[in-house]
Amino acid sequence: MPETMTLENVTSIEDLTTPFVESTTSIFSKMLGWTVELGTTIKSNRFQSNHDISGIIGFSGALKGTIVIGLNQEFAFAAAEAFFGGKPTEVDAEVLDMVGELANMIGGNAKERMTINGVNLGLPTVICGMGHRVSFGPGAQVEMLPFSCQHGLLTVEVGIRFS
Amino acid sequence: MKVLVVDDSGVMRKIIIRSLNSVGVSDIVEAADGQAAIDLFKSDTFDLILTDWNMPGKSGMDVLTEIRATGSQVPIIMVTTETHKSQVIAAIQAGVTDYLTKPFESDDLRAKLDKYVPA
Repeated sequence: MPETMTLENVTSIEDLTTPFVESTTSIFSKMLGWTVELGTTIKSNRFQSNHDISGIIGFSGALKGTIVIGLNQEFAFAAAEAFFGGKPTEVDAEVLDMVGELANMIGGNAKERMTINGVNLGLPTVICGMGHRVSFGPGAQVEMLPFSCQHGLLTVEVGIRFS
Repeated sequence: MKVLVVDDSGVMRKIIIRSLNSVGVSDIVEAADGQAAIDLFKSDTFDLILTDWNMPGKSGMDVLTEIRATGSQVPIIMVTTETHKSQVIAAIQAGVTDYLTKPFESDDLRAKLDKYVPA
């Protein structure tokens, strides 16, 4: 990643990988004290999720796209316990709110690391249900960043439309 | 020390309150939106206000502007990911005291408390 990123030097999804990797590792490290390690990234524009829960947040303005964080129930419960001190027993409103906030923080922190002016972040949406599919639609370049830690697997899918 | 925590996310309020508790602050009032924060400010006295920036309805900037318009100099810290230069300048002009950037650790919060609310 260039030291100062500009819209002109962002031409592919790979140019945006570093801010999202740094954002994700930083948030889990600082807020939860967890070390999450990046595995092998995958490019595709259509992922069949193996997760129970997806947190989705959109970018608009200078960059148009969507990020999706995917995690399973046990990972979400462990994160909720680390955040709040009590382990949930079901995927309730608080767990869903937490996943939305994680998406918000990962997206927002990555946006700050990009240092591109005029990028706006939307409000997070959370989808819950085993085997749900997230499609980024035609024209989007998508990269899936898989992270692992002692509590399981977390994916961050970044889909950007370059026009 | 009495602290007002303003965030539309119940989860983020819990995270901030847990961090405040960990540094010894227990007198905490929550507001789930900007208008509630302004109403609480008018009816109570706080030593510090921690507010999110992006909230539906009245934003953290609106809260900051309305409180400063009353002449109050209560320390107001924005807890946010929004730290672009233009946004920082706008907040400084509106009278923000400082930022706490997400993600943060309890030590970051403690440093802000020590700086703006001396024991």
